[in-house]
Amino acid sequence: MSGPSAAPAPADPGVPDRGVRPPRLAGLLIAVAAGTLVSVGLGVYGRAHEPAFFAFNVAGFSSGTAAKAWLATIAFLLALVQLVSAMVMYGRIRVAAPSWIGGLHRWSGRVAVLVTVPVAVHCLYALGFQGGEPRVLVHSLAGCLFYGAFVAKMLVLTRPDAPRWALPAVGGAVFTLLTALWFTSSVWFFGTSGLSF
Amino acid sequence: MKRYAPLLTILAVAVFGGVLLAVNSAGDPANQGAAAPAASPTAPDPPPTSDAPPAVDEVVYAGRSAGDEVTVAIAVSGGRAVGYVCDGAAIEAWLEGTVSGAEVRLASGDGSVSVTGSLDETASLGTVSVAEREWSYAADAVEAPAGLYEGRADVRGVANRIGWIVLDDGSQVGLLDAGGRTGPAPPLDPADPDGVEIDGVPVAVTTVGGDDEVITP
Repeated sequence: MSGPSAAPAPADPGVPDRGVRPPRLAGLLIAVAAGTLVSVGLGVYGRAHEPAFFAFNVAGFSSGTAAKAWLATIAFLLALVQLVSAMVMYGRIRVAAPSWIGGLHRWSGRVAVLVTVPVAVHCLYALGFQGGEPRVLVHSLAGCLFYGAFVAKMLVLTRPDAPRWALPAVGGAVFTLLTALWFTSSVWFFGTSGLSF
Repeated sequence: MKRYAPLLTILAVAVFGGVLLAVNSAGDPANQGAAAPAASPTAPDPPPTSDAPPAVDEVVYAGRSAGDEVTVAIAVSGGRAVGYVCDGAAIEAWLEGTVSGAEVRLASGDGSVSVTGSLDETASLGTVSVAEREWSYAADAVEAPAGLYEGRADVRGVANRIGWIVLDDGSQVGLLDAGGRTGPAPPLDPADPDGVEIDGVPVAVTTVGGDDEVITP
C-alpha cells in the first residue's frame, strides 16, 4: 500500500528492553485490555447492527450454513494441531521437539484464525449477537470473546516481559473458546442436519 | 521482524474481515444480481410470466411450518400471489410471486425469504426458506375472518407496518415493523379491524389479497 519504495525496515538492533524489565504485568495487562476492547466492540456491533438476513450468498458461501460448519471444523482441527504443537514446545509431550514445530504452530494458527473470519463475518453481519436460547447465547458470547482472546494472545507474543504463564493461559483461552464455538455451531449443525456439505 | 509477526497476523485478520464485511454490504439488497457471483442455492426469482393457467382463482392459505418455526400466509388471485412469513418474534417478510399451474413461487424483495409450493382448492404445501434455513409448511385454504392482514400507521413520523396472519383456529401471529425495528404486533380483532392502535394512533388495517402490492421499494 505504501508505494513502491520499500520503507526502511524497523531497525531492530540491540533489543534494548531485555535489560530494562518494566513491571512484568504491564504487557499482559495491555494485551488483555486490548482483547477486552475487541470483544466488547464485536458484541456491541453484533447487538446494535440490524441483522441483515440477506448477506449470505456472498464470498464463497454458495452452500450456506454447511460451508460455515465445515470452515469451523477446519479451524477446530487446526486448533488441535495448535494444542499438540504447543504441548510439544513446552515439553508436555515427551518427544524431541522437531525444529519445524515452531513454524507449524505459527502457520497452523494463522490459517486457523483466517479460516474463522468468513464464518464470523457472516455470523455478525447476517445474524448478530443473539441470546434467544442457551446454545445461541453461549455461541454469541464465545464468538466475541474468541477474537478478544486471539488479539490478547498475539499481543502477549510481542511482549517478552510478560509472565511465563501468560502465553499458555491466553493460548488455552483461545483454544477453549474455539472449541466452545465449534460445539455450539458445527457439532450442533451436523447433529441436526447430518454430515452435509 | 519476528517480534512484529503477531501484529501482522492481527492486521491480516482485521483486513480480511473488513473486506468480507464490505463485500457483504455491497452485495446487500441494493445491488443484488450484479454483485452476487455465487448462484443462489434457493429462491430463484419468480418467473415474470406464468406459462400455465393458474389452478385456482382467488384463495387465501394460512398455516405453519412443520416445526412451527414460522407462520405462512399466501393469497393468490389469478396468476399472482402475495405472501407473508412471520415467526411473531424476529422474522417477517412480505413476498410476491406468481402462480403457474398448481405451483406457487414467492420471494421477498431482497430474495432472503422465499416460498415454493403446490396449491389446490384446499391447501398449499411446500417449502419456506428464511436466510439459509428451510422448512416445509402446510397451509389450509381459509375463509374470513382467517387470512392475511396488513396495518399501516404513521406514529410521530415513523412509518409503522404490521402484518398479521389469522389462522383457521382463530389464533394469530404478527409482527410490527416500526421504521425498520421489529416488535410485537398489537392484537388484531378481525371483527373490528379499525380498533387497532399504536401509542394511541389508529392503524389502517386492510385484508391482503393476491393482487395487492406488498413489497415496497
